[in-house]
Amino acid sequence: MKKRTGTVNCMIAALVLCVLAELIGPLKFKVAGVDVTILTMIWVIIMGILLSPMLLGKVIPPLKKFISSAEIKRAPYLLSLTLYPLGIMFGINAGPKIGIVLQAGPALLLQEVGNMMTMLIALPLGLLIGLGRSAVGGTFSLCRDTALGIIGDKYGLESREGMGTLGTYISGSVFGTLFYSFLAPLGLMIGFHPYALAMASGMGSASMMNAATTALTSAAPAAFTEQILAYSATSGLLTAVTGIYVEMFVALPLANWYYRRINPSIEKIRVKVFKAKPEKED
Amino acid sequence: MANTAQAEEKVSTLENIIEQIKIVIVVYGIIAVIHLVSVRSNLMELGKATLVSFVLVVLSILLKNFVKKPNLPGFAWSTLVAFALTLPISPVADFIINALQAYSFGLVGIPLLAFAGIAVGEQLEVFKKLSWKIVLISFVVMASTYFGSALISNIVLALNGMI
Repeated sequence: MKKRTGTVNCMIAALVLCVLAELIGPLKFKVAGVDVTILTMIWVIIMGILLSPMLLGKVIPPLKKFISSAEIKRAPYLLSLTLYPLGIMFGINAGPKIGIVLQAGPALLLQEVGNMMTMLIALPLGLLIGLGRSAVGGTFSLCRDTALGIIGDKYGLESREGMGTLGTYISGSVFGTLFYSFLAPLGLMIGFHPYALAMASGMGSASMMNAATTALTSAAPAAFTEQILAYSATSGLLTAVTGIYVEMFVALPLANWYYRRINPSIEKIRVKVFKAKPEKED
Repeated sequence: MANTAQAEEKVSTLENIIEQIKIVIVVYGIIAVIHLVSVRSNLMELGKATLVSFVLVVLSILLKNFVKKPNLPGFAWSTLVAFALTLPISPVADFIINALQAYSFGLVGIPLLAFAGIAVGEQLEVFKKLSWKIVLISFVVMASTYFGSALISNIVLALNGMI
């Protein structure tokens, strides 16, 4: 008998989920006077998560057989292949608009620096709640696969830094797509221009970028759609090409420097406010 | 000895490529069905879009598997391929753009999110063991990388008078 790879069931599940979600469609309602839209894509993500053997699988035994650990282990691989057709969609929206993209070059390049803003607030906050060195690993970048590689190489994933990176990685895998599909419309509400949010979408994870971009195109006026896709595509491409170098040679040294600068004073605050024991230096 | 090892490596790359292409074909089947259900696409146009997109993807998969420097993710390769072939100087640009009009961006991306959702199952066990602290911080990280970049873009675009 051939070893079960999980491909077939996973594909069937994906098809059923997508069709179901399309049939349900977006849901609009008001909460305290604010329009809230639950996009089709959000149904898909939520239903996908619910299929886990640990959630609905616990209640419905046949489901546990259909989506077993083989299937959920296979899903990331299938996801990586589904990215190809999506990349084509991004590419064909950027190519014809090369003029506009080049014109926006300065903004596109400079916003890459924003990917390092993660640590600006997150690192001190992490130190304040007592994460210590884990905060460096968990906040120096969005902590996707490349970051795991870098931290694994330098500190080992068992180290405190590694635990931090792994923590942000796992939490991002669980909540990332969902979180970004709410964050994009929120950005519009705050007052960001759709183009600015489009440029911000290439943050280092293709599935999060897809979630953010799709949510953005649904929330912004339709006339913006093509240009949103063009900017988002370029930003994603830039991060894919430069990301690992920026993380390795700029973001991580910067996080370490920042840590040394702010940790002593944050430790003092911690001792005062939480009566916490000082973090031991490794 | 070195030769056999090299030959074996070639065979496994080839097997890899074939397996990936097979899976991509099924993925296109899913994408097509979603289009039929959701926007009731014209079958002919949908077929054309699927075929053209598929050819571009095969090209990208080949590049991903054979070009090791720079070692880009597959997603970046397919964006690059489509980007390069639809530049205004490309002779096939109009053909590709017209063919792919039957595809809606959101519907092509949706199977991806299904897999992303299903893949979460694998992380749940480990996730339960995470401290609430790192989960909180991860949300701050995700929000600040996004809004940080958006803030910079917004300022630069405004300074350049583009928005």
